[in-house]
Amino acid sequence: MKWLLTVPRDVSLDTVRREVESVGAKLEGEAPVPLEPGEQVLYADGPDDLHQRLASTPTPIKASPNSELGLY
Amino acid sequence: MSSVRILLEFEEPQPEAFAAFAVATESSAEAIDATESLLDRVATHGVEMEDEQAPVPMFSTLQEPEPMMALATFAESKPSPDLGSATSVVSARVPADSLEALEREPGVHVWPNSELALLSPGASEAVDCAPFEPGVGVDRIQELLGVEEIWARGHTGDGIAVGIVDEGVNGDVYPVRGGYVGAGVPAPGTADITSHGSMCAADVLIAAPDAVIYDYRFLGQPRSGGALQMFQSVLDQRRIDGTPHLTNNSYGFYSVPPQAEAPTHEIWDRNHPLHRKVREVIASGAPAFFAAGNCGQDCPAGRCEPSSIGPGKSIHGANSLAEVITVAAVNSSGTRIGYSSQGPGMFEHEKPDFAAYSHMFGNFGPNRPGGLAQPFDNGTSAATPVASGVAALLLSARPDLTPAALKSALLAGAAGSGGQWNADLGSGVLNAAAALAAISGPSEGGRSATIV
Repeated sequence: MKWLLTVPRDVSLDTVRREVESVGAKLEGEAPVPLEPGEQVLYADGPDDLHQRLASTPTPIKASPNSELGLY
Repeated sequence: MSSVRILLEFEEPQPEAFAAFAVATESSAEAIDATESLLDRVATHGVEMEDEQAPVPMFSTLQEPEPMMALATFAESKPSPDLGSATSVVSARVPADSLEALEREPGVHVWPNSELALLSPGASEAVDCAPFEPGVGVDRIQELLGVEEIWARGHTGDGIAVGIVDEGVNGDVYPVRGGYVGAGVPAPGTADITSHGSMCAADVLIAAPDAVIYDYRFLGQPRSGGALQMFQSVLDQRRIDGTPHLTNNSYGFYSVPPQAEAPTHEIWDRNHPLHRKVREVIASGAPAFFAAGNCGQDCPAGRCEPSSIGPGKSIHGANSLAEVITVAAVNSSGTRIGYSSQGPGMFEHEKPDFAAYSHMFGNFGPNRPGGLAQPFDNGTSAATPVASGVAALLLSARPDLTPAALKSALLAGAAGSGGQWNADLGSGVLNAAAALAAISGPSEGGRSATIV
């Protein structure tokens, strides 16, 4: 499943990558998107319950679905 | 012996079918003659005429169920030549025990003739559903919007850039002047003329013919993460030069996952990153117009899941955020189009905000750039850029309008809801002249804010 991960901007990407991989997900290649104040969004692929798995990581990482949209 | 009501379709082409139908409807005698001449072929099955209606010509066949394209020329405001029909349909009764044998007759197809129900008598307004009212030219929409009196004051959307987040815009036909540029991404303005984004561009220009377009193109299947990137690109550009001045967003979701199973889904989490980014862009001074959706109760689009159809279930995600401007669809008669999604919104209660016109010959239609790939611009997808164009027009007259002030003006200028929000049309149907008038009166401090 595709996910968007919201993380503090002052945490290194290497740290986030390790923690994400420790729960069975992988960061994808898209450039991080800054979110104010002081956060950024990373793209990831991972299990359907990733948002629950990330609850136990040292870094606060919020997982939100990256869902398909349809044209109206 | 009981009999059943049926419709019988005879595979019998009729040259100049409109003329023949006109003759058959001149009198009951003519209708009976025309119908009996067909029913004689199946008289051995005990088939009887159901009423005195003339045979109805059909311009498609069972093998090719799409209507013939020549019908599209009927949308023009000049006479079109008569056409030959492929089949004719009559109402009839047949004894129940003869039905199976009748169905085996070559060249005849038996259809049910079922009872219909009137729509709820308490409905607040009529519904344009199937078959839809014909499309109209953009000049009719311009007249309905009252844009010409604003143009006469010299405001035509000039200097305003509208960002279209969609599947791409054709820049050979429409004035694409910017957009998302990235490695491996098609350049802005390179989409096919039949693209959904090109339709949106055409409809922006209905009210604001001198506005320009920025093309923010989804890659592949649109996702919230792609939209997130596009809104970031909008923000990047606004940071550089304050453009685009607004965004148009004619997309959304067609199903609603159960909240217990997907509590973080875009439809349930108001703070999903996409929604936050949308709020950032609005906060930067660029209003965001979102389509209400096409899952209205009366004739929802085929893609709509039952979970997403009807009042309270069909306006969701970013399209229902309080900060955005959510647009429903009406036809040129001001009648709600039955697929237009209905409020309340799943985030903000009073959604849609108002309705704008759809079903016009903007990009699609006779002699239009997109041709007859679609009969006319349609969906709340088309209504939304009509509203975006009105916003561009107002912004060219009043560049100082904040997103909130612009929204207030558009709401104040909307008509037809009796001053009360309702779930079908919001505050009513958009009118540019009335919206401008709403911000042109004397201010509370006595200083005139009249537009010149």
